[in-house]
Amino acid sequence: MRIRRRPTLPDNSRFYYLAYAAATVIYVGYALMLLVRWKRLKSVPARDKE
Amino acid sequence: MKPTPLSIAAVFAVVITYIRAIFFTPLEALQGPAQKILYVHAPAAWVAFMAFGLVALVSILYLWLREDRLDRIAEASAEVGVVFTTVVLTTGPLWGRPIWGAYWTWDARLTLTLFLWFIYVAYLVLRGAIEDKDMRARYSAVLGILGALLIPFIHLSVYLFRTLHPRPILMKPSAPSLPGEMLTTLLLAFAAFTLLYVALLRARYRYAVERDNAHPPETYVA
Repeated sequence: MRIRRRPTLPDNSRFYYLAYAAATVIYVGYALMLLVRWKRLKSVPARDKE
Repeated sequence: MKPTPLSIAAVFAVVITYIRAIFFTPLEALQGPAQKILYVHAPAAWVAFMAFGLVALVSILYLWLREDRLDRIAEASAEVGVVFTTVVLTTGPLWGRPIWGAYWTWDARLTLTLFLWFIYVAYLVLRGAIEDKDMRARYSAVLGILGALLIPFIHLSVYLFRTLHPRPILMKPSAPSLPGEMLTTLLLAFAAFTLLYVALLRARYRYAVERDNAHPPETYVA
């Protein structure tokens, strides 16, 4: 009797996790960079007054 | 800079997209889990093209009208576009390795996308290198327009050349070639990342306005 097997999926999930993690790090990193630039910009006039 | 309703909505939409893509979208029969990279890779490419298309559009308008805010929109959109292209160039190789057997291949689609990234990085470097406000806006507008000419070539490269990169599954004349559940996730991802682009563009534009108010740019008269 022939047994029909379900096709085995390739185990490449680490690439998929890595891609999602990398995309998240890039977006969050850019948002944080914007925030730091904004805070630095806001702090310049205060320093000038001193 | 406080969180705006737009930025909160964008983060919420991206989180919902991640949850749907990871937990509620079926695996593709041949590629397995790696195919799910589609939901971050393709929307990032779409947003990058849209961002650089906007740079070209407002740059043309700037050369015509000479309005500072058009230059600021171009500056903001170019920077955010570079971020999204970086995501494309990072997630693409991570998808290529398990499916093609190589992280990178010098085929037309990949090479032209890398060139696009270089052009807009050069655009940002150029902006930083010129002190004169009008000259900076004029030169960068020309580069911004010329760079965007690559976009149609990148989109059509999979038809014009023999490439490893697959042809579009959504942005093509015929119906999308994806099962319903995957198509819904992909459309949601397109909407979410477009919203994220608008939120980042707005934040970056506001930064440029504040910067120019705090430190008015110089205009040199020759």
